[in-house]
Amino acid sequence: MVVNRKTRISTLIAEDYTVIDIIASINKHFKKLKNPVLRRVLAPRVTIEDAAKIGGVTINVFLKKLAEVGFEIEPSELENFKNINEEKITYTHMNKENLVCLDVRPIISGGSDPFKEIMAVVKKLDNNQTLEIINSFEPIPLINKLKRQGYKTWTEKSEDGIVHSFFKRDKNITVEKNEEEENIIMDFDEKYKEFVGKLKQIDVRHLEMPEPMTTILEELELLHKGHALFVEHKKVPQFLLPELKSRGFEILYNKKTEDHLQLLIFKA
Amino acid sequence: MNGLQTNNAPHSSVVIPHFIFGGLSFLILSVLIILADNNVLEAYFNSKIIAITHMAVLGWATMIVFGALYQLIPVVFETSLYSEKLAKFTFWASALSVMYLTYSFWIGAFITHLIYASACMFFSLFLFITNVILSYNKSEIKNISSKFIVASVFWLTITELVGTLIAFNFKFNFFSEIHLHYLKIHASLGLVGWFLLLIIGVGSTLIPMFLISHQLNKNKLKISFYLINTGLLGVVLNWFVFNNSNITLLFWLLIVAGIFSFVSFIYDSYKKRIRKKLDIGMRYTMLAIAFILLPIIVSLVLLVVFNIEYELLFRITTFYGFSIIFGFITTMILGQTYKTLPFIVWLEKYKNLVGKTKTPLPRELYSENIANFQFYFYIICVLGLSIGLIIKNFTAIRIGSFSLLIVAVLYNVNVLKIVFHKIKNKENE
Repeated sequence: MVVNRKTRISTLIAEDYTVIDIIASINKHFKKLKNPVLRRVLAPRVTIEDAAKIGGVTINVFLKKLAEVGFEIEPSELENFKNINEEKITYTHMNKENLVCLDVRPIISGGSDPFKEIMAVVKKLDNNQTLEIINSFEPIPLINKLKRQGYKTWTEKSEDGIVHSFFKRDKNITVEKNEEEENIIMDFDEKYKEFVGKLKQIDVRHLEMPEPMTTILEELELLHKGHALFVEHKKVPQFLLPELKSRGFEILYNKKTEDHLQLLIFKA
Repeated sequence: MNGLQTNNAPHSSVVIPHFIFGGLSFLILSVLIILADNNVLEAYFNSKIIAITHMAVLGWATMIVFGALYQLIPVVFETSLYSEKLAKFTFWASALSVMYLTYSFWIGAFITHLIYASACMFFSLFLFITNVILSYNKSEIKNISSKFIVASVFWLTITELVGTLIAFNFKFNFFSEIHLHYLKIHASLGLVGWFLLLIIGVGSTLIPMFLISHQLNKNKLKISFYLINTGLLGVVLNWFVFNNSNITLLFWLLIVAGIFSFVSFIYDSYKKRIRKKLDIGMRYTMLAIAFILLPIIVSLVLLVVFNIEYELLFRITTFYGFSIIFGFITTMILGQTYKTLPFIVWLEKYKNLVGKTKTPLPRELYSENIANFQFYFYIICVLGLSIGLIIKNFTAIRIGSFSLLIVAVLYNVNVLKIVFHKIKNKENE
């Protein structure tokens, strides 16, 4: 399969399970992938780009490793990656008064996903307070999400490998996205959370019409009750939608780029 | 729900009649070319050639384009067609108008039937244009493909306006220049403004989709859009106002640069394709893209070489029209029919069964052998007619026109095979 910086780790794993060992061999940060709970939580949300950042390596290193085990690297990647990783996180030491601290390590080692708890704390946060998340890795998905919602974030890594991530509402940042769009993202993310662990992932971007449609419908027939299908797709599947509706499925989407869309399909 | 409209796809009864009528027009067209015989080599402003041209561009190409566009509006605009009823009415109005118009030209009824026929045609095309524009207004997607489509529809309106004025002028005589001058404007608007822009708009969505290629540089399409539209506007205004051949050449260069930008986009898509083997539909499509070069070269000859004798000029002009209508447009349509029509019918017949039982693939709805034979005869046809027109050889033209008849018959067999496909349940076999 052809991969680029936006390819999700889960997609890699779905393609080739042994890739976990390969990634883990890059450096110790990626050993976490061997932990099934963490893998379940992170893999679907983290792209190669994010993962490289978490592991503190360049995308190049990551892609080279993948190329060694037979993944095809999109040619444009090989030229473009240079500038990306240079924007290192600057440690803007802001006043840490009114700190609300949440250590999520016990939650993760307890086998569950801390996302809901974090979001509950975020909701209660007032403008003067800063949230500190203590974790064993940099929580890129959370950072991206809160950035979108108008939070300033910065991260500090202490020597023992513990990562402190800080979030503070930024009065200067007005949330640019209109409300409706934000709702869609929330809705998609929330539903996605609900189905973590009960997700079947497929990527139909490399298939020729009408195979994306037939593949999706076939997978849906095999889907366990209460589970959802997560599809990486190129575009809104106009001709599939009426059929999904008539079979009683709901569909949510998350537009990544002009020609990359994620669909979440589940029984209504 | 997240604003995903679930029922944007038009009913197949809106789309499929266009393919049947288009196929029949193609057949009639091939018969007309045989009947016209040596008229093909005479002056290009003769009634037989004009009848054949209108049968080709309206009865064949435009009708298929209408059908395909109704199906594609949900894909490109991400909204449903404004009105399916209007589309059905437009189909019948256009079908009858095309027949009437072709008949009027064929018998040379320039001052009797033609004004009525062209008025009917104008009205029918206007209905189509209305439907597309109102669909576009509903749409939130304003991407480059949809801009091409809207621009093409705009140029169709102008083409029609000029065409109808020419028809009326036969009776009422209000033009200052000779007919040929306006005919040139009418033809350029139709071929470049309507067909080329439409094919680019639809092709820029469909071709990468069928080739399965990602991450293409859409800026090439934007450049193409502005260059071609500016060029065409310049050429047409110049023809109406100054009629200066240097200015024409300048804007011609813009159009050609725009076309190359599109071709380069398609070339990227071809290079990056995941699906390496081209099926019959894509072979036609790629051939059509390569054929764009031919009219560019011929039009350059027409623009820069002045002292051609009249008789040769006429043949070159006919060959120019032929190279666009057959080399580019028809080749593209023959190919895209094999990509879109089977899918449309397949969707209609199998959507309820997919996933529950094993269903055939869309390409199993037609005969691949027939499609292949059709392709080879088509090559013979294009070669025969091209050589015949260039070196003025009747034998080559006859070989070409009879091959075209065979192509049309084979095409119709496959189209009807697809349309009247009976549901096969593989598990019961």
